Amino acid sequence: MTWLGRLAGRRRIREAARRLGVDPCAENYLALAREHILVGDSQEVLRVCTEGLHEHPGDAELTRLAERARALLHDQRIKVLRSDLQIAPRPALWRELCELQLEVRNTAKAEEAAEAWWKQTHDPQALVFRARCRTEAFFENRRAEDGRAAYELAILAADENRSDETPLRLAFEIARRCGAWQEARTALARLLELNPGNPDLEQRFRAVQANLSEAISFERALMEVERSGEFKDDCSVQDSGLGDEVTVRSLLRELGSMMGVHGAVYVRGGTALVQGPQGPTADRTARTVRDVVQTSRATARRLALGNTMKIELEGAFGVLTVLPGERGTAAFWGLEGPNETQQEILSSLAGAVGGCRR
Amino acid sequence: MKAVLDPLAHIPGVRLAALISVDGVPIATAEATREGETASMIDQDEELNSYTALAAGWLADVTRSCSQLSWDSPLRAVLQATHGTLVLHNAPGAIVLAVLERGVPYEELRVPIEGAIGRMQRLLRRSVPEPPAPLPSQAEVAPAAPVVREEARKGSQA
Repeated sequence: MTWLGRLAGRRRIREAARRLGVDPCAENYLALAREHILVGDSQEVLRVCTEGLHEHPGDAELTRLAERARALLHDQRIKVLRSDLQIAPRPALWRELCELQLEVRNTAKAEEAAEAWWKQTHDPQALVFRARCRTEAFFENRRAEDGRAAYELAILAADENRSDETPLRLAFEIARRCGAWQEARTALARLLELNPGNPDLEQRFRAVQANLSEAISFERALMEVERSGEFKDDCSVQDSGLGDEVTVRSLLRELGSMMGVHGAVYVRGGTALVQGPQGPTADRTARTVRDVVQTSRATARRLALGNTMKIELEGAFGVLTVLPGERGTAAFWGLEGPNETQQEILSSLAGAVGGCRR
Repeated sequence: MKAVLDPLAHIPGVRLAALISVDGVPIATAEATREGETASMIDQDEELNSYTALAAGWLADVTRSCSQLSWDSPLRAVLQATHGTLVLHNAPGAIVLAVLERGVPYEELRVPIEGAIGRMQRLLRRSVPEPPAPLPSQAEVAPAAPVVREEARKGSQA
């Protein structure tokens, strides 16, 4: 940009800032951010958008611009790191590059960088990062292939550097969440060798030991996760919360008694509670909800949309809103979509407040 | 058709807008391109084909599940996930597909999608020639009138 352009840009920025001072609405924040985009100052764009979002939380365009600015800043740093790596490759730069890619949730690029690092130096740290990338991808998309690769890489990294705990912790986490207790026990045993007498690890070891009777093979556990889209160990955590059937029933009854509600369903595993439809229709309603969740979870994973948070179907039958959550699946069938109160009840039924992501 | 989708793709937060056939074949697509954005969401045609096929497949699966309750095909289906939202809206003979960025409220897209469907239908109506009317129009009947008058004149001369 020429000095004349910069001068004009600075003048426009001053004018936009003055307008914002007079009227701090979202449009004026956007206008100022756009002026900073024109002069290529991503740091300022992010600052203006963050301030704007503080004043106008949830503004879609400000959120989008802030995310773009953040991504742009990351991209700039990644570019610098890449050029530095060509001149003087060293572990600290590789590590930062992988961390940055993981931060922006670009697991594919992070794995690519970790692979290049491994090929160049055969540093065991690179293997740990490859395992981390695959683990992130597995937890996000729940594909068996990712889980298998992540576990194998973690074990390989642990073998390469026997004093490093990180790969063993990754291996344990993968196995634990899938419900492959035999593999979880092996990883924990190795962790205990590195940390003898660690009370937390010992407690976990005892808990895993107790689950060994219902252990399934690692391969089967992975396939089960891919099929259902749920981690086995998440279910055992859920029981401490709203597993109380009485509470679920009362919430369902409250939902079902509201105006304009045709039915409310709660599905968890093979059990379904239905409020509204009776007899065979209740069975069919529960089956429909279960099928819709299953097919939606698989589709969301295939379309790289991540974990399913909500499904809404609208037609001549009314509106069916399905919320798959940590505690189970809650569904609402009404003339219109759920209002705020109904949405809250659905969220507490499904345990979806924190989302099904981790 | 691209002009029909362009206003939809320019809404903040819309990553992709497409018009697809019921079996998932893309008819027209419009992707969001804004300042600073160069990367396309779907790079290859093949990828786009499989993406739209998967989306249409999901709608077909959901419709099949709903048929257990003798429900009609959903007019609108939304799949909200952690990385984005997929919105499918049934139009006559086609489906409007929109993919939104994470956190963008999908309800805000209802009117623009319905607008796009309206535009598409207007465009289709204009391109089809009007069918013939069941009864003859006034212009077709008009030449008969002078004949009657001539016969009347002949009668008066006689």
